[in-house]
Amino acid sequence: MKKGRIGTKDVRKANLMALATALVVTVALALPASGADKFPSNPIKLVITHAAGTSNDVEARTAQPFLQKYLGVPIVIENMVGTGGRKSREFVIKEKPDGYTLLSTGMPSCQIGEILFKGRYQTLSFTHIYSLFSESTALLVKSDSPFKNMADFVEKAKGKTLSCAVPGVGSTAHLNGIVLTRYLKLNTKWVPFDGGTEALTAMAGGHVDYVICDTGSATAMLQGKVARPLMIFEDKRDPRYADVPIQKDLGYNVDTIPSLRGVVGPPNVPADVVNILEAAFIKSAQDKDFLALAEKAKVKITARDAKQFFAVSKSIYDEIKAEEGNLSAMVKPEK
Amino acid sequence: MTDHWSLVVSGITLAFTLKNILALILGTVIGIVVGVLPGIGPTAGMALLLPMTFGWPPATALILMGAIFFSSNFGGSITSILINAPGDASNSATMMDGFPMTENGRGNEALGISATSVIVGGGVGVILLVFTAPLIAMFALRFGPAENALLAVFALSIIAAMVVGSPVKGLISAGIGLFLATIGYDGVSGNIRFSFGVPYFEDELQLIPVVVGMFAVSQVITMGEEGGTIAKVGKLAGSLMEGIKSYARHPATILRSLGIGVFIGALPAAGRVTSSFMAYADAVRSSKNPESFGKGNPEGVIAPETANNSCAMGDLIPTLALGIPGSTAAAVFLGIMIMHGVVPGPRAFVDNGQVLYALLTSLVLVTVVVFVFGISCSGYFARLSLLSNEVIVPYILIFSLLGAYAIRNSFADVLLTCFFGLLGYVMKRFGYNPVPLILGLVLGEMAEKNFRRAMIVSDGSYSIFYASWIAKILLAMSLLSIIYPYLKVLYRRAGRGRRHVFSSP
Repeated sequence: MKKGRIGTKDVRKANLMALATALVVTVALALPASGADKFPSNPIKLVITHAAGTSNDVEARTAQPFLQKYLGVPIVIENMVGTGGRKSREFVIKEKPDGYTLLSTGMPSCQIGEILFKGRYQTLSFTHIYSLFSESTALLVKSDSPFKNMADFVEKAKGKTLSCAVPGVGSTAHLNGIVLTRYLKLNTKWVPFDGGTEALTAMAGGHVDYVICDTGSATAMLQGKVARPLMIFEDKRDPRYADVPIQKDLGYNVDTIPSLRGVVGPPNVPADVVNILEAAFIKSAQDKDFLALAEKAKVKITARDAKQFFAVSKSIYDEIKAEEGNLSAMVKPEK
Repeated sequence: MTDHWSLVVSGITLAFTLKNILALILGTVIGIVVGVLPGIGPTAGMALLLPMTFGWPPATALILMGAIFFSSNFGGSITSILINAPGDASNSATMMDGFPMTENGRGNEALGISATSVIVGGGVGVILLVFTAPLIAMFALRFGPAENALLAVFALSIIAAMVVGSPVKGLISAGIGLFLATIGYDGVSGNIRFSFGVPYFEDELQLIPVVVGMFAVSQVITMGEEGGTIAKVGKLAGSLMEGIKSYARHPATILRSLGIGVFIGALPAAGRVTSSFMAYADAVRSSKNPESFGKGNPEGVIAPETANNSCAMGDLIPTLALGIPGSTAAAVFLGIMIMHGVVPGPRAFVDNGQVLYALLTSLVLVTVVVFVFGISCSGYFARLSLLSNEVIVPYILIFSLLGAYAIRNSFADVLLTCFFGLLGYVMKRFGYNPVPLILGLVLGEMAEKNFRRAMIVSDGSYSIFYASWIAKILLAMSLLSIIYPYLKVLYRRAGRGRRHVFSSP
């Protein structure tokens, strides 16, 4: 009885619905297809190695509106948190190399993750696209510390074992510190903390003798005159701290392990896609509004195109490979 | 001085411009929403909205962020009280008595207490922030690795107060928590422990899946079994006004919780979870009826809520005074301040006085907005507890698992939540208190890492743990809190004995 109630009207309605659905599907399928020859025509996913609010994330979000402006498609940021960034790298390296999945990663964290922590990815096989941001490493003491400058520090530290707070085992700061103290023949007790802020706090309270960490974490403490930088690990003086000496000024023949953040894609992204992405980054890096924002935020912009970025990445890789034995000994279980 | 007052006045005026009031209300609403969702807290909320504020004037941007930063706590308490699912790990302590109050039909009253603590904890917090920030911040700096390790030990020692009745089971639970704290990456040696080759366990265990599992999911299982409604009496008894009144009845608890909240907040090494649990344990210990806690004692809501809200302001104390963020969320807030050209530190009030006074004024206003929102909406929220369990159980489960997923977009976190749900259920069945487990997980990491850092600094000498006067006091307090329950028993026995002597013919 109820069956009979399905009238022609319902059938027609169903047909119409089917037709409409088919139409929508065709249009939806046709849209990206028509634009497929022109990259980009879909939103681009930018994976971040760390959580929302971390420096990598904040930098990416600062650049996001400008990249969207020059690429003309939305950039969707996804924080893939875990295992110090290895999780996200292991994910992105297996993605399709079409330029629609990118990864913003810190270096040398990427190389260290692969070499020391046995990450299942190969840093140098990623398609290097662009590196917009860099970070300096600094050696800092309390503002009322007896160490007046580097020469004074080295003299007073000779023959003693001073304690130095670092943001983490095998961090850029830690590596730079190992290289420097070996060169200066200083004995050091490395005290690893969870991030630059904690390390700086221990220094500010006088619980360690000095700290080596990224200048980014120290921005406010430097302005608040809680901390005083003795030197910065760089090949060129940091324009934000132009009066702080670097190795060359002090006559130290020590290499800098640079710290930078860049965007990479899965291996073998086609060259034309890389060029389009690179061009958008170059335009963003020259955008006046972007530069103003970066200056206000006190982030350091060191633009490196695909070639330069890869070259730096490789030199960091080789440096860490050379230190591998040393470093693994430090992270091996204590017996 | 007159210059300074004109800055204060212009700051307050700035806070009351239409644009800034709108930013404040928007921030409060967003804060409550991110607070309600487990897994999304104020840190993510602020970071996600950051690009939107780039073109904004500094005051407006900071007011929006400040409102999110502060108000998220109330959002998290709503779900803690009503459905036993904390919106953030820091709201866990509120569940201990908040949810039992809801079960007794007094959800409305518990929400009233929570709203009142927003205004009291936040208000007193701001006042301390304005007048004593440099002092408290300098004191907080004296806490190095050794002092932080001892603080964690002290906090662990007051677990003893919470396991009255079944100390062995309580200690087993705490032991499991301490063990869980050792899983994953060890930040001091750089090693990975107890991962057994599974990449998921190479990270430290996240607190949210454990807390949501142990409380919300295990509760859902029990509710499914029992049927009926959350409010077991079937009707709402208490009112908001009663909440406000019962809040006012415990001035001593409030004062102690305020102190704990502000100070723990000012310490970068410890945060809201520690402060709220410490305040809770402190309330239990100093109560005349410790056995009434966990069964819906309003004091068990007053203490953690007051501590939590004042802790948020405490977080900002070293942030504003020295540029040292008191917590992860405060670190993000600090980054946003720098981005908008407002650099904290001793000169901040000279350089950016107007913006900072506008921000502080707005923080006071946020407490009022949250309070008004709380008292006007709680009545509707509380009716959730009258819904039949058959209806509400699936929603709580979806909400909890969604929250667990949202932390890192990871399905493994959802599985872990389910595992801890089952564990929590089994533990409850056999009379094991889950709170010590959570405390062990939170404090174990703080105690262990700082202990080892202190040992590196001292070249392996234990003397660093009684070198400073802060360390001495903490050590003494820990010992005292461990033997206190036994002293109490002895004292009572002695009392009874004397009476016996007197009454004997």
